[in-house]
Amino acid sequence: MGITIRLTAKLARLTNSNKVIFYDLKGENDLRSLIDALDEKFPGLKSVLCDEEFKITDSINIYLNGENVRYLEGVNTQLKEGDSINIIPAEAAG
Amino acid sequence: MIIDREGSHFIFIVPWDHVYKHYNYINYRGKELTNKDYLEYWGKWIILGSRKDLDELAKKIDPFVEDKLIPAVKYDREPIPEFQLETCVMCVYCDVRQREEVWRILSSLGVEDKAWVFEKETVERWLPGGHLLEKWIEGKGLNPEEAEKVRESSREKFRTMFEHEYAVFRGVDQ
Repeated sequence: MGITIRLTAKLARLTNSNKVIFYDLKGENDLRSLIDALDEKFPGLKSVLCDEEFKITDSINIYLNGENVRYLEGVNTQLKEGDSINIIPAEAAG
Repeated sequence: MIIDREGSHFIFIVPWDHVYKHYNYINYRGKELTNKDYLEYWGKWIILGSRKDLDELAKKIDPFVEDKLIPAVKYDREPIPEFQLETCVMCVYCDVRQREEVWRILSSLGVEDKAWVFEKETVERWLPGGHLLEKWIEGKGLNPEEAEKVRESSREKFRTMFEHEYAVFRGVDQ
């Protein structure tokens, strides 16, 4: 089943125009490992989403099932089968 | 009813009662929110899309606003150039305590992307040093003096808005 990741058109430029990505969970199941895995597939994505200390940048909002992960556990937020992630520029949340 | 005034950047969906009978849609189960409540409970589901897509969705949402199952909606007439988002944004407002009821309606209308934003977060981002205000200033290409005026104006606007925490919240100037 895995999880579904959705990106806006602007961010999808970093994922070969894939606006929806399906990801099978394996091993570590937190947001940090997901971002690492996505960055392997789409190099450069991590540096847009996170700073050098692996903190989500101010210009990005990541939602897990509708909830901003900043108010959960940031990149340490645990993921589970069936979860839905939305990644949008922070400007959209105005 | 859909309020589409050409001079406004935003298109609104609010109940007819709000326009003609001073009904305050910023309430929870009929009780108006105070400034303190507003910052604690009020927020919005964010939906991104083209103007055409959002116009179509607005028509579907309108009856739910009229029935007061969804408090209010606001969306961009066109993408805000300063933000370089390349998409329009729709905000579907409600109290966090009713957000799942509102989400079920949106979901039934085909909305898939789920993103909840508290108004408190938005206010903080429009204060001096906040990401949205600073990005807007940058996008406008303001000089330091102009930028400082904008920051001071923002600081003052929010200070007066939330000065009395137990006063009924009366809305944000758009």
